[in-house]
Formats: sequence, C-alpha cells, structure tokens
Amino acid sequence: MTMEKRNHRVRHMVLTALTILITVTIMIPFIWLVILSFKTNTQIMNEPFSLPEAFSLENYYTAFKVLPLVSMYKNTIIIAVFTEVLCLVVTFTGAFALTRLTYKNRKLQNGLYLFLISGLMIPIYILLFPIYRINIQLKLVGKYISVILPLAASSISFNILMFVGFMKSFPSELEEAAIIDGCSLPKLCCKVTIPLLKPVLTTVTVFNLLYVWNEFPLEVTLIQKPAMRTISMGVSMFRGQYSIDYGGLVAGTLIILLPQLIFYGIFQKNLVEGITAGAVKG
Amino acid sequence: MFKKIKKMVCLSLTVMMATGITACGQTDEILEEDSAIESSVEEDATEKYHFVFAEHVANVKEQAPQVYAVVQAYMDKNPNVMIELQGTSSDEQIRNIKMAAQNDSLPELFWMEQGGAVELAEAGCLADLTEDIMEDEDFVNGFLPGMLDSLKIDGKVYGIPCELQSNGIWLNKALFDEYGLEMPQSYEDFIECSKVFKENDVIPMAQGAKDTFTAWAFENMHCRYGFYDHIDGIIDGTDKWNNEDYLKFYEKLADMRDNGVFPENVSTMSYDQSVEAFLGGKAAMLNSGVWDTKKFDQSDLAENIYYWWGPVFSDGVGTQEVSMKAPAHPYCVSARVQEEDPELYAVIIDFLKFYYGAEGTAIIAKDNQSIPVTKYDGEIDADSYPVFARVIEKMNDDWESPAACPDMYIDGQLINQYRESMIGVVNGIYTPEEALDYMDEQQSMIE
Amino acid sequence: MRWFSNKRTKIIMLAPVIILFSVYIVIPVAMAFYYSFTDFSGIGKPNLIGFTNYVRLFKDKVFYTALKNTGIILLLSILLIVPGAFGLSLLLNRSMRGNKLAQSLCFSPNIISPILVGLIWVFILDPKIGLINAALRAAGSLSQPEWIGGRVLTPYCVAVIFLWQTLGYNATIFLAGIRAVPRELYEAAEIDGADSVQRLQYITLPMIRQTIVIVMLLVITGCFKIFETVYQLTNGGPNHLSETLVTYMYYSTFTSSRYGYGMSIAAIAFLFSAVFAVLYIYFAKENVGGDAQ
Repeated sequence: MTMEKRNHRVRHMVLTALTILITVTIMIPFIWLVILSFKTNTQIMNEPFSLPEAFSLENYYTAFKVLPLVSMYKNTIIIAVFTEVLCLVVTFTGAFALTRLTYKNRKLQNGLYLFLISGLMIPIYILLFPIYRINIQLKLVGKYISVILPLAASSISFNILMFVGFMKSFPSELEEAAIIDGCSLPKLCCKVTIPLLKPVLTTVTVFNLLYVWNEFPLEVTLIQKPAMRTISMGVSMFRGQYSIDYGGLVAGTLIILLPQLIFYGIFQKNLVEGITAGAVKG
Repeated sequence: MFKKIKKMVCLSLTVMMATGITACGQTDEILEEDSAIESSVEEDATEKYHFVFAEHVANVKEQAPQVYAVVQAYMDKNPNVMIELQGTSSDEQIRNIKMAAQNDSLPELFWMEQGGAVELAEAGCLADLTEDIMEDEDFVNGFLPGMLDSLKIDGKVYGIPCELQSNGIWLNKALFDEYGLEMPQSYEDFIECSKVFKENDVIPMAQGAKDTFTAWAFENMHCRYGFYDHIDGIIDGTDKWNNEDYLKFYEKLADMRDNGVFPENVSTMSYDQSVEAFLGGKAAMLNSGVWDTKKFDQSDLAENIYYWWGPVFSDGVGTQEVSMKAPAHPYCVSARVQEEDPELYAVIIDFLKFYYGAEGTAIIAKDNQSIPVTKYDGEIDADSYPVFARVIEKMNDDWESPAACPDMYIDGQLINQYRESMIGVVNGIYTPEEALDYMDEQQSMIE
Repeated sequence: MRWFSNKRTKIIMLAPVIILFSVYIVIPVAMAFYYSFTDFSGIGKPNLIGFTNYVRLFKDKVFYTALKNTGIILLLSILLIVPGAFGLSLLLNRSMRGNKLAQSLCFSPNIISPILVGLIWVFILDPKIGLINAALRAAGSLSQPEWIGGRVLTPYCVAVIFLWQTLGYNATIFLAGIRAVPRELYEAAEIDGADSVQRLQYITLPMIRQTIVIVMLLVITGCFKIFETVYQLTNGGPNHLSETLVTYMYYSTFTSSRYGYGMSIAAIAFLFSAVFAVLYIYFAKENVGGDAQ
C-alpha cells in the first residue's frame, strides 16, 4: 500500500514537472524577447546567448521615437470601435430574428442560418482584391469605412454561430412574459434579451475586438494612406524602417505586445470560458 | 471669384520666387516685391497649395535624404506650398499605385516602377509633361544625355527618372592591400581575389540574396553577355531566354557560387546585412549601387571604398567596357491633376524644375553626395567626400552605358522574376538552365 | 414571439446582416472567380481569357511547391497539435496548485497578433541571430541549420509556430470536453477496477469524440489561414521555396500585379476550403446523430 502511495506521489511530481516544463517552453519566446530588448545591437548580433551587459533602455527610446504610436493606436481604435458596434448590432438583430421569430417556412430559416455561418469556411485572403474593387464601386476607398465594413462582415459568421447557439440554449419564457406585459420589440431586446445574453455578449465582443486589433491582410490591402496605418501595419513596417537595428525592433515588438497582454490578463476568463461554451455547443 | 484671383496671384508669386529671386539681381524693385510676397503669404497662410509626393522608400528622411532635403528647401522657399512626402517601401508603393490607378486616386506626384509607368501612361493615367518641360530649353539641357527619353512614348514625356540607375560592385581597397591583391579587372582576377579572401576567412563579396532585388551588379554582367542582342527577340517571341549567350552568363553566376564568391549564408542574408558586413570590414566587395555613396562617405572606411563596374569576361559577347549610367524608375504626375487643377499642376511643374534645376542638383550632389540625373559642374570636396569623388570620376569615364538597365527594359510583370532567376542560381536553387527555362515560362505567361 | 413575427420586422432585423454579408463576403467570392478567368493586370480593362490561368497554374512549379508546403504544414499540425493539446489538457485537468495560471499562460500566444508572432519567431529561428542556433553554438555544436530561409525547413518551422500559437487554445477546448464527461462514469469504472489508461481509453476518448472533430477542423481551417507568419519569416523565399497557397496568391496578385492569375490561386484555395466545409457538415451531422443527446 505504501509502495503504491509512493508511486502515486512520484507520478504526481513527474506530471507536475511536465506541466511546468511545457508552460515554461511556451513562455520562452517572450522571455527571450525581454532579454534581447536590453542588449545592444552588437551584442544581439555577435553574442546573442549572453546576458545583457547593462540594463540599457536605449532600445526602448529608439522604438518610441520611430513608431508613430499615437496615430497607430488612434487609427486602430477608431476602426475597432466602429467595426465592433456595427457588427454586434447587425449580428444580434439577425440572430434574434433567426431564433425568436417564428417562420412558416422552416427551410428558409435554416437556410438563412447556414448561409450566414458559411463564411467560417472562407479564408478572408482570397477576398482581399475583390473587396478592394467593391470599395471602388461604392466610392469608399481611402476612408475608414472601407476597412470597417469588410472587417465587420468577416466577423458575421462567428457571431451568428455564437449568438444563435446561445439563444437556442435557453427558453424564451422570460421574453414571452415581457411581451404579455406589453413590451415593444426594441424595448424587449434592450431590457430583456441583451441582459440574458451578457455572458456570450462579452465573449463575442472580446473575440471581435482581438480579431480587429490583430487583423493584418485586409488592412494592408485596403489602407494606403500612411496617416491611416494601424498597429499591425506599423509592426509590418518595422523591419523596413529599422533595417538592422535588432534592438529597436525587439523593443518595438514588446511595446506593442504589452497592452495586448494586459488586455488578455483582464479578459482571459471571458476568453477561456467563451471558447469552452462555444466549442462544446459546436 | 475673389478667391480664385487671389490664388492666381499667389501662384505667379510662387513661380517668381522659385525662379526669379535667384536669377535676378537684388535690385530695389525686387526687394520691394519680395516683401510684398511675404505679406501676401502671411495673409494667405491658410491658402496653401498642397500635394502628395509618394516616394518608394519606407523612411524618406533616412533612406532618401537627398529627396527629403530638396523638398524641404522648396517648401522653405515657397511657404505657401505644402508637399506631403509619403514614404512606402518599393513593393508596397508599386502595389498601392496600381490599386490607386484602378480607383483614379493616384497621388499628385509619385515614383513608379518603369513597366507599370508605361502601362499607366498607355491607360491615360499620367500627365503628359512634354509641353511644360521640353519647351524650357535650359532645363532640358541641364539633364545628362538620354535621361528624358526613358519614359518617352510616341514623343511624349510622361516621367523623369528619380535618380541615376548605376549598379556596380564596391571594393574595400584596404582588404585588397592587406592580402597583396590588385583591384580586379577581369573575371579571372575577380575569382582569384575571391579565392584568396575565402582562404583568409574574409567574405569575398557580400550579397543580400534574401532580398531578390539585390541582383544589381549581375545586370551589368548580363549586358556583357549580349543582353540587348536577344531581348527584343524574346519580347517578340522569336528568341528564347535559354539561348547560348545568356546561358554563358548564368553559368558564370553558378561558377561564382561554386568558387565561394558569396558568403555561406547568402540566401538568408538581407541587403542591409550585406551592407553591414561590408562596412564592418568582413567583406571585401559588395554588390550594390551608387545610392550607398553617402552612407559610405560617412563611414570609417571612406578612404578605402572604391566603385567598380564589375568584371569583364574573356568569353563575353560584344563590347565588354559596359558601365551602368542609366535612368532609374521615373517620377510621374497624375493626369487628373493636370486636367482638373491646372494651378496645382503648375506648382508641381515648378517643383520639378526646382528639383532638377541648378539648386536642386546642388542640394542632391553637393549636400547629399547623391548622383543627380542632371549635369553638376560644381565643386566636389574630395577631401571630405572621397567616395563621392571616386564615383563621380567613374560616372565621367568613357565606358558606354545602355540606355536602360535590363530590369527596366523588360516587362514590369517580369522584373521580380528576372531578378529571382539570377538570385536563384546564386542561392543554388536553380541550375543555369532551370533559371532560364523559368524565365521562358514566365515570359510566355504575359504575352 | 408570434406577435412580432411579421414580414416587416423580419426584413428590418435580417436585412442589414444579410446585405453586409453578401456585399463583402459572397459577392467577392463570385468576383474572385470572375477575375480568375481574366488577364487583369491592375491597369486598363480585364479581358476574358477562359481557363488560361488555370492551365498555367497546373504547369507552374511554384504552385506545386506552395501546395506541398501547405500540405506539410497541415499534416504536421494535425499530428502535433491534436495529440499535444489533448495531452496538455489531461495535465491541466489534474488537481494541482497553479494549473489555472499554467492554463492561461499556455493560452496567451493565441491572443497575439499573427504579424507579431512572425516577428517574435524571427528572433528564435534566424540562423544567424536566433536563439536556437545560438544555443547550439553555446553547446559546442558545429551545425547551424537554416531553420528559416533555407531550402527545406521553413514549412516545418511554420507548423511549429502554429503549434505554439494554438496548443493552449486547443487544450482549453479539450479541457471543456473532458470536464463535460459525467463524473459517475469514472466512479463506476473505478469500482470495476479500471486503471487510468483504461479509463482514458474506454471513457474519455469515446466521450470527447465530438471535441476531437472540432479541434481537427479548427486546425485544418487554421492552416489555410496561415499568412502573416510566413510573410514575416521568409516572405516565401528563397525563390518561392517556402511559399504557401495564401502567400503565393498574395505574391501573384499584389507583388507581381497578376490579378487574374492570383485570383485563380484564390479560387483553388476556396475550393479546398469548400471541400473541408462539406466534410465538416458531414462529420457534424454524423456526430450529432451518433451521440443521440
């Protein structure tokens, strides 16, 4: 019995050690970046494996100087906020209509749902050039809206999937009761349905926000004015601008990375739970 | 209506400022006018002429300081003109211009790669500059021969070269001296030197083959293997890339690779890294061009850096004394501004005349050690700028240059592929035959 | 709800989402197909040229390289990520202090913008300044493999980066699946004397079949979306040897200005995705039926 217990203890320790090992391995790139960021460029080039000689903030100073942080963040926030609002409004009303309203033709209802989630399977990359042509037709080129509309459109399928999945999972009794009390449709949505949707709403919002924040291919194709460049585009330009100043490059990367990690720290619960909820329901 | 008149006044004053003030003596009359200009400018502080100048480097101030300096000088002189200098890396610039052309939203003044510029001109997107430029005889005479012909279609000028396309090989004489080597002339010398360097752990020639655009000096060499004897036939479909002469040249590329001319990590070395290896004294030669002159003059190695047109070949085809002093890709003006806003168009023309005129040339050559496409007969401070002085000497030698660099002669859609074919051989990915077959395949795709 | 279910309400509520989706997703797909039959070069008018682009595509060596690389990434990702994430989820499912922290740390690479991921990994994989080769040098090894930018290894490294990005994410999905398995099943098995391997084999794996399918599909569709990493690491080089379908499409369309040709690659990529979509629906249906919830 004691033998078995000891075996159990050993196994537990081995598995714990393995978990820690995997976690640390995943963290290595971040740790490595932080170390590099305090080194001089020659140190990075010639003896990358050494520890920094002195903790110099020089790299951060250059990075702040080169990166147009204010305009990058301003542009990204403008695009993110409008995309978010637009996308949430249209997908919420759409999902509400698909789940709460009654249809004589069930096939139409199902067909619409499948139509709207079919976008999950379309890689956005193949649409880059056609979307640009559409913006030309609609005379939107060079405006924020030329990016906002396609970004919102590419989140539709995911949002519909999440909203419909969630709304199907709880009964509409509360809403029915509200209607009997004489509640109008807009009021019903705002006062009853949305509060009920809060968990999935947070998750969807966080996911959409992350998507827009991290998006690159659409932005780089649709935005030509340097004054409208977003964070992702700023990052992609790093290499051209720094050329061989690796120190500045690393520091710049970390400057962009840090706010994201903080954001993750705050919302990680929603993210992780949201994935769980979304995945289990398929 | 009143506004319009004011604009016109302002414009004529602008032009006067740019041309008149320096040309005329400082008579009292002019001085009076001068103060009048200032006051009117103050009044019209808000009424600025604004246009975009889209350049093909990411950071214009750092990577094209001569352009930046001329633009600043022009704006200092003409406070009512605001030039918005946009910097974008060349790949992105080409993409942006092509996309903007589809939307009829080209920047007012912009850099474009030659092949694309020809397409734009044929599609009617570019302003025909002939009338405004060719009639000014002094201005035309200021250019080096052939420079205004590079984007001339049916006798109409649609663009002016942004700089001189001069490719070559840079040499670090100190390293040659250290190992008792003469600076090479022939291909055999070149290989001999490379072997010696290699034995001594010096990179013979730094080459940033990660960036395919670094095929520069190879293009000079290609000219020594009859590039221009075949290319017209290839474009017509009567000749092939995989011909005897071109094959000889591509085999030379393979031969250089096999003889260790390039660094071992050539395929992952970027252009910037290759420059750094050269300036760090780790490489004896560098495949690049005159745009690096200023950087080299500012380096510790300035005394030792020489410019060379590349090796001549005993089995070459045609004349071997080929240099590269050709026009580079053009600056173009959008047709829309010419049609819709003649006043602004006049300001842009005035800017171009400043840029390529005496003052602009002096800023480019004297202050920034860049090689202008116009004649510069001012002094050259060989003590402060030895590299620049040597480059100018090379520019004035009697080696003849083709009217266009090979990659400007071929179709715009093939430029990347042409460079890739050469770099592919250097990287050991293609055999010479494969590289040329690749080109034939690509050529057949555009017809 | 019947009260509100008139035509007008339905149209008002559904029209915006349908219009937005059609204009920016559905019509562009059709346009991509249209342009794939033209010789559009970005300037002037497109001319219809039939199947010429497709004929060229099937003769284009680079296209096959791109296809091969995409295949390598796909296969390797499935082999690494599915078992890896499952294993990690088992580890995280144990009662252990700090496993919440471990979970969120493992998840964190997933939220970083892919374009930054590419940049970060340059400093790990670069043959000259990267961490791995520096470590090899420090350990006295003479070989300095070209992890990126060489002729062979790039797609494998891209798969490893993809693993790094998605391991914690997929482990989280597995974890959810595992936790949804009723406890009583395990308790009953324990009474019957089943050891942990048997419990895994006979209870956990069959019960999370659906989760496995979901993870597989996420990995597959994810692989077809890999773009920024390659773009940052090698940009498809040297000489297109590390090109994937998406990067080659991007290169043909936007760098070479062969819009028609690029769109034919896009059309092929779309067809691949469509095939997987059909498979997905097929699998999902079968599973829902099979589980008979």
